[in-house]
Amino acid sequence: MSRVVCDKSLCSGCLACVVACMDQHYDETEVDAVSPRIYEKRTSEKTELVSYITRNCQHCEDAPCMKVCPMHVFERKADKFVVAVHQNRCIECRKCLKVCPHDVPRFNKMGKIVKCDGCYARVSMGLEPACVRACNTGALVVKE
Amino acid sequence: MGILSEKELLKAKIPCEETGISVKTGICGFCGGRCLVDVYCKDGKAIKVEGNDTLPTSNGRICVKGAALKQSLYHPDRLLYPMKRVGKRGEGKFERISWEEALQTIADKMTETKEKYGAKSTMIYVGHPKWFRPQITEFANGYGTPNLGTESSTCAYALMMACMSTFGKGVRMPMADLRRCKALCVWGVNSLYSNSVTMGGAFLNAVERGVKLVVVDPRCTPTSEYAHIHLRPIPGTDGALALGMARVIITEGLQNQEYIDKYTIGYEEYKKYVMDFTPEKVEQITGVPKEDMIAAARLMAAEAPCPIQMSASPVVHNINGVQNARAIALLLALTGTFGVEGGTMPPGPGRAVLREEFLGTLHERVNADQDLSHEQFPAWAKLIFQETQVTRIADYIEGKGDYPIRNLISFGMNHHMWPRPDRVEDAFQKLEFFVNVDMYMTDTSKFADILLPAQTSLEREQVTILGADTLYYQGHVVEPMGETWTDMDIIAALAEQLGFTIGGEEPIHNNEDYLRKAISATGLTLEEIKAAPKGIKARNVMPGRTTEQILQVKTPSGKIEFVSSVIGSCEKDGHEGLPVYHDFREKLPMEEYPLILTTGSRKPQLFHSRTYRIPWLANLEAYPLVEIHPEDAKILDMEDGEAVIVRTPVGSMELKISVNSSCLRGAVNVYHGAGDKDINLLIDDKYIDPISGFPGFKSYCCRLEKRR
Repeated sequence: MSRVVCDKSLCSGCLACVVACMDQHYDETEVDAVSPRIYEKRTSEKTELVSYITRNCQHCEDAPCMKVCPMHVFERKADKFVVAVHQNRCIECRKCLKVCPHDVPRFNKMGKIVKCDGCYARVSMGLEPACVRACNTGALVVKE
Repeated sequence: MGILSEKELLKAKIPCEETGISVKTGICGFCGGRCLVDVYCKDGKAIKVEGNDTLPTSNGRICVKGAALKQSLYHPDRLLYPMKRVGKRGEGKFERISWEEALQTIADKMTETKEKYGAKSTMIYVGHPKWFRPQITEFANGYGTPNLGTESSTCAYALMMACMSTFGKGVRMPMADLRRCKALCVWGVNSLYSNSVTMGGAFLNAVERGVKLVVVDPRCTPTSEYAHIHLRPIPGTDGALALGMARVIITEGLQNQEYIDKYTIGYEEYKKYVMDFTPEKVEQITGVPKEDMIAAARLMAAEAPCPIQMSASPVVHNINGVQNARAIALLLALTGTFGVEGGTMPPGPGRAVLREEFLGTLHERVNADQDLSHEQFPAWAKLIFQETQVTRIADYIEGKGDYPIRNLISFGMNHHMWPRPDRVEDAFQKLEFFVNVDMYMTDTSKFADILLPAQTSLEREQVTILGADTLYYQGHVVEPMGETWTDMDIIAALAEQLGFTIGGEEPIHNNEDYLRKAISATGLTLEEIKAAPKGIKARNVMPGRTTEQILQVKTPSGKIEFVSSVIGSCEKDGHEGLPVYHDFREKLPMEEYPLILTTGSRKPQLFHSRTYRIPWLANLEAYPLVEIHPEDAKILDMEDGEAVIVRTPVGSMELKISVNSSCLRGAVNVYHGAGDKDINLLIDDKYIDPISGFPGFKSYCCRLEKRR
């Protein structure tokens, strides 16, 4: 298992990771691109601050999405990463979303799954995932 | 490469031989931060960008806006060829022409106008970017018009006026010694959203060092989360807060008397004035609990030097902005913070300098005493001698100044930055001739008669200084698109078409001439800098200054001025030598419009109008939104997402509300510049600071009404 985790106490909600993820995975002409990183609003525990917080696929060891997908969209890459390799097979049955303990799968306008691939190829080459590289505060780190 | 196929390497944009992807380091030009970015290129095209982590000063990070850089670079709105207007002004119909025709048309028109009405009836303007400002002054001088203005008329110049009138010439922004300070007051800055890579990184380093932190900000921000004391004044009351803090420091004997005696003038008069700002009165004006204000004042004095970090606009976007900023700046004199290590404008190492840099080189203008703003803004004319104050651009075009502006030659203008952009659009229709040089077909570009296409930061060769003394050359990270030129090439060519040359005794005919001139003080040649991909140390540096040297300030008195002689000697209403507090609410119909309207507080993904064009940024959050505290929303019986009517004394607009507890109760926030939903349409263009001419963007008034 190799996953990016977000230290909520450090995250400023600047969303750099979200757009860096899109820059990594999409061409600039894909203006309706859906971000594999998920961002939501939260209120600070100690003040009235409302800011964004981001999260991503945890690449579960026992990945329930892989088990339920009738179209075999997912493959395990580099022994760690659950990747929607066969995105085009997706029929948007949303079974993966129903079983996902982290509410991660999203779907684009074409009804195809969008999900974090862990930047598995970058990681295999010794590079950080795009979101971790972009992170402005050190909130995002890779946990093995 | 092992387990990865070539297809996978390519998809992941891995730079290597198999993929043919290479990495080139460039300077992001999205805002003014000039962060270094690594651009992944394949077949000459940028395919990905990330923060550089190999050159001095860089930390590998990138901000949300920079991450969308390729979407701005290859945007379908990019201007790629010179064009002339064929439709109505504002319609956006243009036809491609040659550079020759464009330059000839502009030169003919400028010459004709000069003969008919005099050179001063042409206004020259610079918006974004700023780097060629010294040469645009030479261009205006060569042509003969004093009416040269820039976007700084509503951005940073008012804060610079406050600093220069207090600490003298050369002290423009109160730079805080973030690396060495033990305590820090952040006044209206949220560097985790704005300039988050460089300034945000420096801020987080200071936090990590355990700096004692006071944050002054009406809103809760990620920056205020780190504060030991967070003061939340009503927007626009900063001056009263600072004067109240000064009173606490003085009555408790916490001021640095030795410093005051040695380096300042006017203290007794100032002391007498601040005595009126009792904690009770200040709490009533600012809404800040007096205990918090007192605690912050004590901390700043006890831990002095405690620099105050300020940003260009938040304090000075108020009709008492210059004086409010002066009241804040004087805390630096009171506590002996200015000019010392760990303080503000600290002594430092020697630095390499570029000649002809936008803030370093300020050329005087010809016929400055004939420009349109000097009579109304005399303190501006003394301190910002290099430019005309142009917030009143609509009036000036319409002849409501001493004479009408007939030609407008502009570089990167965005009229949404001014209050009442609709009035500016009406004025555009009255121009005889309008040229805009830009990277995009902006709303402003649509009103121009001739459009000239400019290169973006990644397309043009440039030299920058990293840290104190490392020179770095950026070549064409991507080849210039279409027939785009650098702004410098455009200015030089236009000057030559008009029969003169810019650059004086070292003439500039093109961008390369400019680069050679800019670096000439470093003792390096352009070839040497080009040959050093990791940067090269300057041979010549300007020696660092000591505290004693910094404190030989260049005010008329030679001392730090508690009572400004520059402002006080202006015989004009509202120009007082003391940092007098005038409350903006006295000038507004607050009973009818009880909510304070603040525009422009930074969101990470937005930067003025330009980010709305970028789908990945614009799509992150609906816009524009009226952000309102939940308690205010409840009183008004309004729900998150509800469309409501925002009404001000000059207009109304339907916008959605966003219930957000980060807001101060009683003050709503709207981000500006969104085309026909631009909140600036609702801000009175006569609501300006009499000293600086700056609009009161941060503290206007409004009410919210239910839709019928």
